[in-house]
Amino acid sequence: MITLKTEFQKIKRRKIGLTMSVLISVQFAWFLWATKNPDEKELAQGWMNLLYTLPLLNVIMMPTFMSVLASRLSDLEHKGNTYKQLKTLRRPGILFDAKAICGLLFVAAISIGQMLFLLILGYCHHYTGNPDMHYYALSLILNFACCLALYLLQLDLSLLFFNQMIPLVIGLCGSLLGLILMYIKMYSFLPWGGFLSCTLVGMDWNIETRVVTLFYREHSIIEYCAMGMVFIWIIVFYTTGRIAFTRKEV
Amino acid sequence: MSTQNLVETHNLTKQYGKIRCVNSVNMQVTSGAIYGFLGPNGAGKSTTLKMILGLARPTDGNITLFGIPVNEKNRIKLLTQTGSLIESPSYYGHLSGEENLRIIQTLKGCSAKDIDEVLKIVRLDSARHKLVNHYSLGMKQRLGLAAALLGFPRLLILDEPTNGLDPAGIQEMRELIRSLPGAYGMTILVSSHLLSEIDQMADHVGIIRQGELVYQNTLASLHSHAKSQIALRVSHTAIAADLLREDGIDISLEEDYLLFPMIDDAYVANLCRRLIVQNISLYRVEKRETSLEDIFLSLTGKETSL
Amino acid sequence: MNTSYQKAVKAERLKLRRSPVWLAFFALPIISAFFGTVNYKINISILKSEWYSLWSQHTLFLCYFFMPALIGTYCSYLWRLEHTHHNWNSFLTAPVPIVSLYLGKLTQAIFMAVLGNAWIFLLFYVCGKFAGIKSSFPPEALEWFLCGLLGTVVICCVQLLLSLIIRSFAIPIGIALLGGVLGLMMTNRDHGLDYPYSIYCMGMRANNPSMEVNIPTLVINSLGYIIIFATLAVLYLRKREIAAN
Repeated sequence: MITLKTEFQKIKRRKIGLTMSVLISVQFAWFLWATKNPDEKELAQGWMNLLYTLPLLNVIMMPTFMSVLASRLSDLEHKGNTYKQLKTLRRPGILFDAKAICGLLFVAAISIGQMLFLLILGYCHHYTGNPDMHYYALSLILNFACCLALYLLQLDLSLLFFNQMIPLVIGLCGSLLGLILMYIKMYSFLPWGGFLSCTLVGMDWNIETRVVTLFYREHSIIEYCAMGMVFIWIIVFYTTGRIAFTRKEV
Repeated sequence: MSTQNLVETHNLTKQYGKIRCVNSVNMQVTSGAIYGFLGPNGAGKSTTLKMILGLARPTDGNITLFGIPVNEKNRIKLLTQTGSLIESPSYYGHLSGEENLRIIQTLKGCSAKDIDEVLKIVRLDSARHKLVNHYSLGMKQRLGLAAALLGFPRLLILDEPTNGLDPAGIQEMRELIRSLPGAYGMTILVSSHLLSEIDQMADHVGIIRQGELVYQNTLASLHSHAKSQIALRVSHTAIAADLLREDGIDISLEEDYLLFPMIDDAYVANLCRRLIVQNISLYRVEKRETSLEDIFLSLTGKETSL
Repeated sequence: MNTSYQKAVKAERLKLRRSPVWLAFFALPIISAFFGTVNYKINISILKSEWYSLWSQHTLFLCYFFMPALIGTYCSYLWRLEHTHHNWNSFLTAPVPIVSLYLGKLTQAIFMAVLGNAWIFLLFYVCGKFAGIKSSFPPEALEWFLCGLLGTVVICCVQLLLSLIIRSFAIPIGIALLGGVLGLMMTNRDHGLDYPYSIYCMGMRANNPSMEVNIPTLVINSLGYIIIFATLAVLYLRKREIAAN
């Protein structure tokens, strides 16, 4: 607990909260832009549309933003060359946990923030009916899990490499990969595709009538496995990162 | 150039917010000198040196190097003739020592042969191909000095160059710095928070305290401020004290000792004879010196004498 | 080896030895080209414009999101060299004009971005041949390349300024990605040429290879942004006491 508290003291004035707020604001701006002047049909499908769009946006932006967050939380140790000091004060495992939990809280704040702004947006647009709270809650949890998996992966990389260019380029490649996975409609077991496997809303586009219909998806067994994979990634990245950090010689 | 001063500052002042960390400093470094810039940590040494190098801008006052005013227009001309090592050494850790020097050599535009020579001077020629990340702190410090020496500038500005060195390394660095004016005609401005270090290295000294230059002169003249006293311990301190007062001598009492300024041998001999005649037993007659340390402390500490 | 600019460029090149940062510029376009080509082959029934269809598959996401972020990463790396290990002291006491020092960094950034762009075009050509496109290589490609180049330089200038001021490695990269997203919105509103991050995509015709782009506006806006951001960076280097804190 004390270690966690010191983590937060260390990131004072690093404006991480601000950075993450900017991220959410830009996404919010995107949503506002993408959902302006809804017609009858869009109003009816509004609540579903929000849940459909969010993962698509996150799959592009989150790998990079999680790499920014992780790098931000660990780079100060590289720059200040504080590992030696820290490792003599605390067990390295505890230190890793503190960094993981610190990021987890940010990730939680981001996911909750995203859901809140979706709800606000929906009510502002006067979408038909009420949001399906069951699906929104589930989305929140899955979204959080996907972000957390990516965060842990990036944390591992950021702590391992002094040169922060490596984890950030990997984050960037992850964004690109996620985007491509989305584009070629290949639901994946890769951590970067998690957002896609966890999409609750499907889209049906009629090529003749050009009418878009959204619906809550029925998931196949394989798709459930892909969803579950996200949680496995969390465990894998957490354990491997913790072991690697503990063993790392400073 | 009217004076022999290589570095001159006039009312040099630096203010951060409301705090003046450098306050009206008039520093004069004569050509060929090793000028020890002495003061406790946080007294404004680094800030002063940074202003001289143009890394920080003075709030007030001005600086001349080689008789030329320091400003944006003359910056390049002055930096070409100056080598510096400020605070911790600068280095690119993923490159070897030699590659680091190659970068500085390229920017300074000096001969590539200088690299070999400075590496020899700081005794890093055997580690030249090793990555600087794998250097010890002392080696990094020496690499920093080597970088400052590249091009053999007329003026060398070194900020705490012995920081992080082991005792042998400190000794080596001192000897190296002492040899530079003779060997290459350099003038050296070196800062430290340790009096003993400056005492062994410098011939001129400037002492800075809370941003103000409280003393500036040759080291020899600082030594002359060191004064001697006679300390006396006797069986009847009060009687002895009266005797001295009658002679019109300033005395002070410290524990069992009577202290008075050293006058001359004849007076001390005479005094002893008079005490024995009055049946006072003499236990100790000692000479006490106010060390350089005391002077430094009194200059930089709370007392404001001198 | 006489002008200060040449010295600064050489010094920058020396600093980048042993750091395989160029690998990123090599890898990212490959991923994009590979999946772009796969997608082109899968959807060949809809994508009928051969080279032009392939081009949009290759470049759309790369130009909007990833090249800006990648250039941002590189610019962050260039300044991080000075932000770490007290290098500002030696950087700013080098007897070289500050403008030259800045141009040294900018040259390095542009050099890398140009190589990246050339690589994108080479991959495009190779993948096109590989995908079995029979028609001749589009002659407009040279124009795309040159316009894209100007756009790249704009992004280099913006990112170098950001990474100079913001000492964090990661945040400027996040800004670059956001800039790319905003760029997509700007392009959709026909303001693509007015906004620094989307000039590149407009120049590369990433969205739509048959798009008409007002070349004089593109050139003038690019030069304007380049001058503004480069000047700001030099002023910042001059005025701020970077090494003092």
